[in-house]
Amino acid sequence: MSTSRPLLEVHNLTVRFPMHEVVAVDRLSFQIARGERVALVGGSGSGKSATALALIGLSDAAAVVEASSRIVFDGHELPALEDESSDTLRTLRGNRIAMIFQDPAAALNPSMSVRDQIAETALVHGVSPAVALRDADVMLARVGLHSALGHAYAHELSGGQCQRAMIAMALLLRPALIIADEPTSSLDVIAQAQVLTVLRDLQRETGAALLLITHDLGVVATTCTRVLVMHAGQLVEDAPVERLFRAPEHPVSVALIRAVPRLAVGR
Amino acid sequence: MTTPLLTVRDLAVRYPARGARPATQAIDGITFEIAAGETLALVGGSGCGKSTVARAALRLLEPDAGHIVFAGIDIGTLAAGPLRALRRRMQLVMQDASTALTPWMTVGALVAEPLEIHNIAVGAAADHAVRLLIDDVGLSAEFLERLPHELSGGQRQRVAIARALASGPELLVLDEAVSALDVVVQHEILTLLERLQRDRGLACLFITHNLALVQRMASRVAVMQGGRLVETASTVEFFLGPAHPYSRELLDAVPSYPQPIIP
Amino acid sequence: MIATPPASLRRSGVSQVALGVLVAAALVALFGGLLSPHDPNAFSGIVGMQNMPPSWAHPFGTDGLSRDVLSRVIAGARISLGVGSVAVVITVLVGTTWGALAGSSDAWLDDLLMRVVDAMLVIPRVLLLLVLASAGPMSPWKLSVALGLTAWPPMSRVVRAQVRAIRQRDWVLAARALGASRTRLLVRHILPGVMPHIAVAATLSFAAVIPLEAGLSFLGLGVRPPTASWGNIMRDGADRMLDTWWMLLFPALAIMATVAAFNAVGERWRAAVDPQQVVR
Repeated sequence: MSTSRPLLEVHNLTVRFPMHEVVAVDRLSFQIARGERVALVGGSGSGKSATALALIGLSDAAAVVEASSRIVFDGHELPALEDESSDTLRTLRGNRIAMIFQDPAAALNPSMSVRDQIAETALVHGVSPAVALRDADVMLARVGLHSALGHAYAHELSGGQCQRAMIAMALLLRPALIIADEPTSSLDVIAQAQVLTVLRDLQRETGAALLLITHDLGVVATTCTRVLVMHAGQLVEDAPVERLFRAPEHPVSVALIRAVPRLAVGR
Repeated sequence: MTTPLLTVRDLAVRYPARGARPATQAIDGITFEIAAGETLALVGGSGCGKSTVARAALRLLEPDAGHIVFAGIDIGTLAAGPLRALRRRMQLVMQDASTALTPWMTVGALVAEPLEIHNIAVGAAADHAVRLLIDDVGLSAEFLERLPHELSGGQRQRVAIARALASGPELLVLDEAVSALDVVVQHEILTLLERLQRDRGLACLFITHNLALVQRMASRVAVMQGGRLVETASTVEFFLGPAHPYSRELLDAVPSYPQPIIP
Repeated sequence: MIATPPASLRRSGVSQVALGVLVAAALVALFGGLLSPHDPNAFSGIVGMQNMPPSWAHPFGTDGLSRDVLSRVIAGARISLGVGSVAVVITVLVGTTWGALAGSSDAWLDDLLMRVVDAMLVIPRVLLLLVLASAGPMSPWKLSVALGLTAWPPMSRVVRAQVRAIRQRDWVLAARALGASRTRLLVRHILPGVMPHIAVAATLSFAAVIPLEAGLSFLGLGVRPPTASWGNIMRDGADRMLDTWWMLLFPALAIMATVAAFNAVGERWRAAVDPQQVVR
């Protein structure tokens, strides 16, 4: 199961926006074990997206990460902000930490076929072109995009298909951690179910850890084993999924649970 | 047997050929009814044509075929003037309030506009009516002077709802009106809509892709796929066991949760 | 308000200088009478006072009729900027109405209106003005009208394009759903969004109209003496350019300064309003 040392340790992460006098993330501390599926939930403005961006050093230009923040990934200290001269983050990103964003069409290059883009991810990290293309095809099949769709361009695919392509791209290099920021918020329920299934299956196969950021507890229930609830930049509850749904402690958690639209018919 | 408030029969819309792209049928053969005070949910995945149905049924876009009868009046043959006047009784709330509210108009002006258009109230009476509406959707008077971009997503949607209710409509079309909101806000807006519907006896066409919302809000469900209606049933029947495979697919896609002990 | 230069513009150094120039020009035009050291039309009749180069008494020199050139340049500001203002107002009114009508109409009317615009655009503006001017002497008012009526076609295109673009927006559909009439849609839900573009086009139109008026007046076809205009002051000095250089230099500087200022503000405003259209 989990090894002794956590994969990701976050200590006292604090992110401010000095111009707006806002503290987006306030002394956030948590851990993620290898292979664990953790959800980071909260309403809009809770600081969850700011947290995700800070973790991979892609914070907004106006954001300031406090010096007291520490992020330790696989035993290595991470610089909290992008440092142009540092190779550490660049190599980690895509290689050991993969990111999936909310709007897949915006993240995909409109002038390249999906297959080529996925292959390019591998190329950038030093794989030969032939191997890269073959791996891309394998991943595309894995996420349910058969070969014809793989040759398509982003604008020819539906939202759900684009997102699955993004997952293929993200998992090509077998990252140790996947950070997915609202991956299904812009999709309808059927596409959402497909994307989450693919994400969960691939995550299990590759043994990657997953940090899933969302406001939708329905997504959490189907995908994750542990939940971190954020409110106004702070962590208000850290609980296993079952426990959170059955007996949430913090008022914010209670409100979130109550707000989830659910079907009354037992299934 | 009372006549339904809205009757739509064989509604069809075609998108004309454009350059190399051939003509496509956006919606075809759409038939449904909504009784006074009733909520009909129209569900389907993205791109199935639900929004097109909403706009065509309100004749905001010209249908290529079909009949639409609202409160005994044939909308399809109405001239522009009477149609505009009739809009007082049937209103629309769109998905994205950030683009549905004119960016340079204040909340007060936006909500007052239907009152002006249909000569319902002017001056002090209008101001009073606007205040009541704003209050009814849960916003305080300080919001009246604000511009849309100064509001949160949930607040904007409340303004859109207040504006839609200003003329006292009998039918409210909600086109994915809560889909863009996060769950907590979504829940609040749905609670608000339930109350308003009860208080005002509104009939509702509730368009969504999320079946979980349907069970809460609607008494009947119509399922669309590829521009056509594939199933229509009462909510109770539907959730006990939908007939059409696509309906079952939609139902299966709704996440299931551990049952809570909290009420 | 919707049509003032945005804050980002006001912060730019070049824009601040340009706006300063324009404000100064406007003040001179409005209050010039008070600033003028001499009556622009007063001449002493003393031969010795004619065509004198700049001095303390006459910082811009005197002209052939021993009139103070500085006073005439100040008076010229009122005429040149006044004619320009009226011309731009006419351009905006006609162009906006035409463009708004075309932009919000059915295809056939839109086509018709824009064919007229295309036809008018075929004829060079200068040519049209020369033809109008040669028909007879023009008072400043008539000149303004002529200038205004030859400039509205491009304005109508800008307005039509923006009206068509905004018509597609969700809030216009929402207003239609409320039962708003076409007029209300146009006036309350579309045109306010077009105003920034109109303001930009008007600013640039102003920049174009000043040299035109100056040119016509220079050729004797525009404002006639004794009324002073920057163009006709230059005309008086054109016969003996080297001997009466001050009668060319100062009006020319005034023209260049105001035109450059209008262009500077207009271009930067356009970049702020419509980032994709900036031509580098």
